[in-house]
Formats: sequence, structure tokens, C-alpha cells
Amino acid sequence: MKKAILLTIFFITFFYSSNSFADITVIKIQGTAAYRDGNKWSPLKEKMKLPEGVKVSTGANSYAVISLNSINHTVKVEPLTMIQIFSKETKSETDTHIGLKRGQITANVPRDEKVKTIFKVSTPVATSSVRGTEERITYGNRSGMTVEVLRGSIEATNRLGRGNLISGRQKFVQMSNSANSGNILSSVRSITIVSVNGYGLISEEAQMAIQEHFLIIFKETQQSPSTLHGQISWRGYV
Amino acid sequence: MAKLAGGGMFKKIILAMFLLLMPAILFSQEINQIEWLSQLDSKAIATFGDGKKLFYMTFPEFSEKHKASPMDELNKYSDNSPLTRGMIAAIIARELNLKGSFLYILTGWERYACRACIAEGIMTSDSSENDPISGPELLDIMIQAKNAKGRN
Repeated sequence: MKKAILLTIFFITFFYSSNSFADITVIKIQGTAAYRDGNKWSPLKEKMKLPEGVKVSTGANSYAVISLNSINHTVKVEPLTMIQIFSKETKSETDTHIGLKRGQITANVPRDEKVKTIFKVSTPVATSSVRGTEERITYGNRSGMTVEVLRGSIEATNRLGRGNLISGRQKFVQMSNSANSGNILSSVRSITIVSVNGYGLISEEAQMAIQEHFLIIFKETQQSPSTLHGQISWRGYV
Repeated sequence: MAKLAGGGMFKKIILAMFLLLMPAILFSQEINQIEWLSQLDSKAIATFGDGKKLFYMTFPEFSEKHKASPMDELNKYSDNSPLTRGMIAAIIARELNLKGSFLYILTGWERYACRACIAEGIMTSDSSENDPISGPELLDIMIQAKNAKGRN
């Protein structure tokens, strides 16, 4: 009798701890969206349940929003995109893996403290691991992979295992033909870092100083503009 | 009288069949687009016709506009000619009125159209305007062009 009870408990524990396939459900569609059904493409419909490992493709000016499990992890498949979805779920863990062949997706992964979340998006050049966040991932044959963090934080790793922890609207860029990923600050550098010229002047102040000096010297000496420009440069403003 | 009634019934049957088949016709058109994109994705070299078709799919507003006044760039080459970066850059630069397209409009040289696309992040700077492009590259360029239009 004891053996039977122990066996029952073991089987129940084993059943609940093992991975079961999550419900992949289509929430919303606009325009043309299809899934691979055997050897042919079939149209997607709202509230449709999709099998594990399904391939989804969208047409031009179309999108599909797909729920990946019961804790509301969603992915928006943007126009001209093709993805493949693998999603498993237990009470304490979700494991989602999306293969992005081409195009752009927006993944929304709300954090649930009680559930261990694994959410990865892979392209031929890099993989992004989401850690409770919202991110936009684009992959193209030439342009490579771009991961834009809209909210929260992610870790992006290229094929060589070089990773970057990214948060706060930063971008991870991995070009297809390069071994190294791009600088994550490249998209914000031009608006945050001010170039400083001689005498600690920023470029706008230096420009104003040149104009003022140009006028003063011109009034004093009545020289030609080409001679004046030489004098201003020599004085060290540029 | 009976003949007339029979004619009315025939019309109703035709109408019912049309209504029943309508969703199937619409779905098949949608699936055709996905099938075509899938085929394009595996093409080693895309054609000028592929470029034109994908451009009109992505920017349908220009399709209507060109019915009234056809654009030179779209009739410059035959649909079967292999697509180069310069050809698709010319269409994109003129239609999306990219910031750097002034020199292209002035000279008509595809090199400048390519430069305008590179400046907007639509194309990469690692090849010339005469290089042929593959189906996946064409799809990549069109996705980036759509994003660039959204930014501007």
C-alpha cells in the first residue's frame, strides 16, 4: 500500500515538473498572416491555437500578435517577418525560444517573481535573452541583428559568446559580416557627448566666436576674408 | 412563368456560390503573397520585377499615384533584368524623398541614390551600386526602408 502511495506521489510530481507545451494562441491579426501547415501555408485566424515549433509569416503592411503562454508573454510579428516559435510551460517555469529568420518582432515579457522565465530570441548571428522587459528585435540578411530595449533589461550574445547586458533604450547591433558587436551607445552618443574645441568652447560657441572676431578684425584692419580666416585659426579658436 | 421563376432561382444559386467562395478567393490571394515572399527569400539574385512588386506591396500608396503619372525609374529596366543595389536605391530615394537624394535627382546617377539609402540606414556601405542583390537582401532593404519612412 505504501509503495502504491509513493509511486502515485512520484508520478504526480514527475507529471507536474516535466515540461508541457504551452498554449500558443493568436490574439490579433491585421492584413496577411499565415502559418506553415505541413508543406503549405495556411491563413492565421484570431483565437487560433498553434502547435509547438510553428512557423509564422506576415505579408507587407501586416502584423500578428501571438500569446506564447498562460502568463501573457506576447510577441508582435511585424511586416515581412518569418519566425518559428517553441514554447514550454510548467507551474514554476516558462521556456520560450523564438527563431527569427527575417524581419522584426516586438516581444513583451512581463516579469513574474514566482515563475522562472527563459525567453530567448535567436537569429543566425546572435541570441537575445530577455529578463522581464519589452524589446524590439530586427534581423536582416545584410543589416544583421539589432536589439532595441524598450523597457527593462536584456542580455545579447553573439556567435562567439561575447555578451552585452543592455537596458534603457540602448541598442545592440551585430552585423552579419563582423565578429564583434557594435557599441551599444552608438545610437545615443551623437546627442549626449558634446565635442569640445580649443578654449573649452563647444562647436556652436566656437562658431559664434569666429563670427564676432571676423567682424572685429574686419572693422579694425579692412583685410580680405581669406587673410582673416588664417588669423582666426592661428589664434586657436578652431 | 415557370421559366422566369427558374431564372430567379438560378441567380440566387450563383449569388450563394459567390458568397461561399468569396472568403476562399480572398484567403488564396493572401496565401499567394506569403508563398511569393517565401520564394523570394530563397532567390540567389532578385529581378527588377521582384523589386517593383515588393516596393508596391510595402508602399501601396505609390501604386495608385503611378497609375496617373508613371515614374521613370520604374520603367527604366525590363522586369527580368537582375536587380542591382543602384536600381532599388533609385526607386526608394526618389519615392521616399530621402534627405540625401538631392544629388541623385540632380545627376540621375544611381551611386548617389545608394549613398542616400546608406545615410538613412536602409543599406549597408560594404558594396557598390552595381552589385546584384539576392531575395533576402531585397527583403532586408524594404524592411529598413519602411522603418526609415516611419522615422521621418
